[in-house]
Amino acid sequence: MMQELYDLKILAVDDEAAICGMIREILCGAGFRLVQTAQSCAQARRVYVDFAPDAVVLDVMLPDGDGFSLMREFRRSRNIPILFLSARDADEDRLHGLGLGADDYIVKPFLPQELVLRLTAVLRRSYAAQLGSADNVLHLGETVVDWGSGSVTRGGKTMQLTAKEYALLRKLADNRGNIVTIDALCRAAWDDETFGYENTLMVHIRRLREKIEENPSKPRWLLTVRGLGYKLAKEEVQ
Amino acid sequence: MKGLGRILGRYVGAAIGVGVFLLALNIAVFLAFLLYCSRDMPVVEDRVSVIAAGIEQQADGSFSVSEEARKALDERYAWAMQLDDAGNVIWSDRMPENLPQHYTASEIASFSRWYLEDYPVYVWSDGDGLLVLASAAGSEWKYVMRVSTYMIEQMQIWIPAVLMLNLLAALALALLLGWRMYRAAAPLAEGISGLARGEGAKLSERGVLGLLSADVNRASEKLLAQRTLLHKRDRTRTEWIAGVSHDIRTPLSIVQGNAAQLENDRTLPGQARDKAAAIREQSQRIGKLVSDLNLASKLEYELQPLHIAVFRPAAMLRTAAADVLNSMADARVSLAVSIPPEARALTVSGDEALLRRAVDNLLRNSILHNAGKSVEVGLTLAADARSWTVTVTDNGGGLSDEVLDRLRRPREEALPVHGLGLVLVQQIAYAHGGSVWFENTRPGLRVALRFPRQDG
Repeated sequence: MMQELYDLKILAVDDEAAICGMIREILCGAGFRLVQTAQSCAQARRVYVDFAPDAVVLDVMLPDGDGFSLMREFRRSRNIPILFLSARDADEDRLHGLGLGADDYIVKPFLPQELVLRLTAVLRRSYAAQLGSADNVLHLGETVVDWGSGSVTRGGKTMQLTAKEYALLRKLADNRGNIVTIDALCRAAWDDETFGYENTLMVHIRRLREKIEENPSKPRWLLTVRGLGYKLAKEEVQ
Repeated sequence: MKGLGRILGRYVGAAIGVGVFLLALNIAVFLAFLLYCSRDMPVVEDRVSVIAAGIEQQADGSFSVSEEARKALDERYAWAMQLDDAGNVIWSDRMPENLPQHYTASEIASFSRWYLEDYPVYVWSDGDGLLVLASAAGSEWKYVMRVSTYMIEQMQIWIPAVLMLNLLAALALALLLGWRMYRAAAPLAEGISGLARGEGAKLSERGVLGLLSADVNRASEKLLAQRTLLHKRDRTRTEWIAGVSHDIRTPLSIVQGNAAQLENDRTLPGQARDKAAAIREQSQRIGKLVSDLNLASKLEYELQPLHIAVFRPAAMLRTAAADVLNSMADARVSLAVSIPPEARALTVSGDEALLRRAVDNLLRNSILHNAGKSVEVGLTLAADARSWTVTVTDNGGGLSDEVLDRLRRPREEALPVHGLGLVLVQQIAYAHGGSVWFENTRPGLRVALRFPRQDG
């Protein structure tokens, strides 16, 4: 069933009512239509069954349990994406080191745009196949990238992205507006920490620009940040 | 086995010292004894010869005694007699009456060797016959010794040999005692050095040094208890800070989230949105402070586990720089990252997240302390055979002399009130065995983080 990104059901769990309310506001403000909240493990379990969320934003410390075990519980029935909210550095250690299988985590205090950015990136990654075409495209001015078919359409011409180009563009689009380091891009494309892909990366970026940019030598979207990496510019707000 | 040689040396030295001392003492006492007794010494040859010479038989058969001989006789002897060759007493002086006046050859042979009726006698043969001098009965002990020449010869070998044997036996005993002492003291010494290293000691309380061992055990228990208490106190403090920072972060999330929403609310007037932006910025600063405080207290009390792994500093620096740039919208900030080709492939081992935090703190410090001005921040990586260095520079106002002075001083006990972010940088560097150098370059600040290269 094809659906829109903003039709995905989000459950936010935090013991603080004010935070729950704020998350609901932030997500609704960003366009999500189906957001429910819970303030304890028990309440979350009930909502999980009744509401059947597609993703969970989960606080680590809850009054009647911890988020990590709640995640394991949820995952037993369905493998849904989970994004942690953490207020303790010790949680960061566990999330970092243990590989609990969380899709992402945000440290409190957080900015609304950070939550929206991380959550949409996680949702796009997890529901790429199910999302309708409207959510499955990237607009770069006149250029349209269709994630479903992995093709770029510009000026009536359609070009196919190679696997590497797709991975690189996806990584940049997930972090649109932010700098993505050379290292993160190499990791995205080659799934490898090894050093030595930097020159190859430049070649792939050049080919990618030829496909998405009107003027590849004067890029408007795929910008170089000298010494650091690349950035996919945001659509300018009129 | 350290110290065994010294202990044994001491023992042998002491044994030799005791031997020499005893020998000297004995010789001295013996000499003193001889000196004391010499006035009672029985026979002195020259005085006997004087007496013999002083007793002369006159032409008429009577005897004359010279004054000198008389004196010697009276001083030393109980009585005296002169025998002729036939064994008859021809002269006598104070001779007891119960003694016979005639002696046979066998009697003479007997008393010259032993006693004459319990009187120790001395005989002296001269031209006038045999002079017999007697001391008081029971005053002297008399013994005639016969020794074979062979024995005398052997004694020249045996006496030094026995002395040598004594010496060797004394040495062997000293070594044995020393070794036993060492055996007894070794666990004690081990226990004490264990205490010095901060480990506990649990010694057997039996044996010669049992009481000492028991004391060491008590001391160890006390020290351990104190350390546990201190550790517990540090841990409590750190946990308290962690708890407080957790409690601060939740309300801060609400402040920051709402402020950010107001900031982005296009229906609000610009001024109100600017104010919301200021609230959002400052609450972000509080958030950063809280997390710095939390980490600093953990590092201070060594409660922060280091996740040591191999990583590429070049990638770490790029991530740190990108994070800072991504979180700052200020176009007046320029951040130049310079990683020379030879440092790009460098791999080191360390806690990457902590080191990135240090770099992040330095970059944010340079930007925040020059807020509102256009600031150029430089981040460079350099490496040589033994170390790698991260340098952060800026063209801002630099640090005040007071802060600079404090950062350059050796670490203080308590965490400072101001400049926590930079102190945290120091702590992270120290935790990695590295160093930090802060320097005002007028204009600007230059901070160099230097780490030893463990592997590459």
